[in-house]
Amino acid sequence: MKLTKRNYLGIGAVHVLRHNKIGEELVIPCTLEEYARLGEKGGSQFNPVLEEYTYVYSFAGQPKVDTPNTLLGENEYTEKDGEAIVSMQGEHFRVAKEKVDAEGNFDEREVIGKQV
Amino acid sequence: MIAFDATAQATGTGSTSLTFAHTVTGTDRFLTIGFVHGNTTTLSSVTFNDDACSSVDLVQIQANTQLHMYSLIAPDTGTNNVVITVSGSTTIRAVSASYTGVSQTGQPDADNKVGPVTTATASVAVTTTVDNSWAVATAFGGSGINPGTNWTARNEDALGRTLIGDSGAAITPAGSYTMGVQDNPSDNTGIVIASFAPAAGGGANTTNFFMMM
Repeated sequence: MKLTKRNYLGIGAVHVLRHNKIGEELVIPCTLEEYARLGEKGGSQFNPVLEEYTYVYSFAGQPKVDTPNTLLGENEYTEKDGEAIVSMQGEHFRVAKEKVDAEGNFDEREVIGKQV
Repeated sequence: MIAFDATAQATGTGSTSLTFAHTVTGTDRFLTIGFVHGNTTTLSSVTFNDDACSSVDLVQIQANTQLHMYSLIAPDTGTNNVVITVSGSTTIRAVSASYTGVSQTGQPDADNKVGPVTTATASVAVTTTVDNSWAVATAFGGSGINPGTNWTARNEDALGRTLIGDSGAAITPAGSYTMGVQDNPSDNTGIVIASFAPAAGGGANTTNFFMMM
């Protein structure tokens, strides 16, 4: 499998909203501070509001990369601390950096049975 | 009388924390949350509107996955946030369900679990303690699972790997009640089940009462 490399920018946080009619999910990057407020008492007042969309969920602590929504996309990877973080099958897998060669080739058998 | 209230689901990929909104209404409320996370991480906390939830039980599904059920008696009403936090980056898949008409002490009053199971079906029984109790269960299968025995589906994560369901009705008389799922036998599957009793006046043990008479 060929993977596309993305540059690691740090630790990220995002909100996910769903379009009320077509169901499309919209990912909006946020700061870690904005994310942390959601968990405070009454923190739902900070849930993002956008016309025609309903707030669904947020998550934080994932690698922030140089994509428009800051998330690793399917069949993309980034490198951090000697590891490659591979995004495939809707999950992230951490493997030794050497498992992804210079052309981005990766043997997906490395992650069989490791899905959550 | 116990009644289903609301449900929600969310997935955080490669994250250390997942937050999602769940709207609770009614009286004598009870919230259950089922979720999985990678076993290379340690579960730090589960809260609803910043109130700590309690662990019901967990199943070690496979070397890298743990399935949990958490619960909270008398969750705050309105739309509030569930927050699940773990020690390191992993995928967190969560589902939740809330109920009304539930006893506000000592709930859930029984629980059980099974897993890892590698057969085409998985099921587990819980023994309810009073008439008109309900059972709730959460399950995980690595390549997706489907509702099975006595499973009234309430929600599932985006990939259909984590489910939450319940008995869908009062269980009377009190006793053993089994819930199950259909899964891929090449995967490890686990289920956590719990029972919860009705609020006072909603489910006295009439069987025993009439036996005494």
